[in-house]
Amino acid sequence: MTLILHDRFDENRPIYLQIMEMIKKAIVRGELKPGDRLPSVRELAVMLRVNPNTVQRAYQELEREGVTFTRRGQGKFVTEDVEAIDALKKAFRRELVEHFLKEASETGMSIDDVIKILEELKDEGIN
Amino acid sequence: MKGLIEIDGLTKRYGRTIALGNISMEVGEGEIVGILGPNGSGKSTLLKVIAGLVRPSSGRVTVFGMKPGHGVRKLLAYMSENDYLYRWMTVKELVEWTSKFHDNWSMDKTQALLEFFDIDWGLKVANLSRGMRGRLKVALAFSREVPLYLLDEPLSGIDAASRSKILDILIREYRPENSTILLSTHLVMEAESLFDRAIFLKNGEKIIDEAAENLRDRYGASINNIFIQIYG
Amino acid sequence: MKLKNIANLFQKDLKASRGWLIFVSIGIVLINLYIWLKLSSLEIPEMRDPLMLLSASVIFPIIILMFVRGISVLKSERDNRTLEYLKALPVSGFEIITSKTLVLAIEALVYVFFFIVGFAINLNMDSNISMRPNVWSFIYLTAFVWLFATMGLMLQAIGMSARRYGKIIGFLSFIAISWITNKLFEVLQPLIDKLPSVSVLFLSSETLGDNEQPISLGILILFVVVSVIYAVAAGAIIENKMEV
Repeated sequence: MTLILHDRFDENRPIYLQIMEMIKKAIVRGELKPGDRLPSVRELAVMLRVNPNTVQRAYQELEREGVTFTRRGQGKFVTEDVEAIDALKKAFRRELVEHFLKEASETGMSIDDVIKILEELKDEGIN
Repeated sequence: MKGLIEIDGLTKRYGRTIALGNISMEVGEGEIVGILGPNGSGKSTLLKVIAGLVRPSSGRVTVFGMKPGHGVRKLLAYMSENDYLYRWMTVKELVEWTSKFHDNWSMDKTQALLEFFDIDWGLKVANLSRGMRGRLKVALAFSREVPLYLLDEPLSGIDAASRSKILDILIREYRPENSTILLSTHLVMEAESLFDRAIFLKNGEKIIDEAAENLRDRYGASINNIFIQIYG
Repeated sequence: MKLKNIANLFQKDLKASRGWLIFVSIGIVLINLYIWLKLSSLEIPEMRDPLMLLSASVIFPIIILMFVRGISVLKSERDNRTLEYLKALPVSGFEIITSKTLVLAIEALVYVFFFIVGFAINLNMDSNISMRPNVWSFIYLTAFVWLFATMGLMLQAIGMSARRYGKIIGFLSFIAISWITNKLFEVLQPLIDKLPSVSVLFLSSETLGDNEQPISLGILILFVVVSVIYAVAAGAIIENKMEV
């Protein structure tokens, strides 16, 4: 299992949220596959150098959202529910674009402007 | 389980100077609590009161349900901010001598900690660098298997590599189910991801006592930034 | 008071005193050796007396030294901040002080040993006089010297526990305690006289013949009791008053 780890968190936001995002991102990218075991709370806490209770909280939230599940005595696993993962991907992509559009609108661009640029880029062969 | 540490209306005066003014707080089992504030804000005095090295002028303090003293000190590991090791001893002598006073000492842990910290057993304490002495103090504290660790400024005055190693050890040695750590520091940025809770002291008074993640959420800022705002 | 704690503290304190023990012992031996060499080379017997006196007066610097040692065994712990290390261990102030007073007793015994042996050898250079120190002479003199050490220890404890004016408070305590101790000896004199005596040393000379020096056991008991009172006071201060 490969998890791309952040060097540092943005400590201006709750860390557990960032751990959740990090794991979701890893799932969307395919670095964590359905049924993969997540690192133990301890392992991840040491890797990220955060309080284990913070990791614990992130794991609980992930489970509540149905992204992961617990096998008694074996640890936490990425959900095997394909629909849930698809939903995660969808939500993730949507969020990405929304974020991008928000920044674009802040510079005074309309959606049409954005689409125009996107089409130009497509014609230039940039993927 | 009730609070491990219960403090009610604690005041400590030195003559006319007030080191701690009417502090009330509770620390539960399994927390990492950051005691934050600039120099002279009362962090060290607070830890010393809990360790029984300084007596309160007024107020009630109980640790494990007892009054602080040498009975309580059997169950807690206190690490001073001062350079307070016996310099004429070798690391080995200091470790072996100190271990004799404690029935909860784990020599296996000492071995592992000193190896992780790259400390040579044969060296005299006086010949260790400042950073190495800082590491040794932390190793001595965590060689004991106790429910409570009081670490006074474990990160200040030492090099970046030592600070990094000490933070690693803090996370590794912390067991949410049976250890509680109180850590005072004015280097908030490096340590803040460790805290469950942050207590801010200013001129001996407690001004903030809140879960770390709540603080980040509420202020939309890191604890370090809150720190800079308050004391800047 | 736990014996195990005292033993562990004692091991450390004795090691910390090693330098002093060796250095001072060598000093006493060297002074006596110097006097002995002088005595051996003398041709005029009248010149012996000042040298004998010098040999005897080595006890005065030893007394002052032990007083200073009593102060310094605590002061050095504070100055090196190791007092905080000690106080953070699960040991009591009484255990810390017991260990220190025991080490001071050993120092006193060693210095007194070299002093008495040196003095006896030098005195016996004179064929007219012979001195045979016995066990009691070592015990009495050690107890006497130890009294000054425990006094220094207690005064330092008093001075250190004061947050301000420690030196002045220490000095005033010194005067008060000297006075009290002196009074104590006066008041207890009748009691001391009632107790049996032991001979401390034998002197024999051609003019005086055999001569025993009897001293009441009460004196010895008093020395020890006062020392213990000083030590307990120091322990109580470290335990209850001292903050690090």
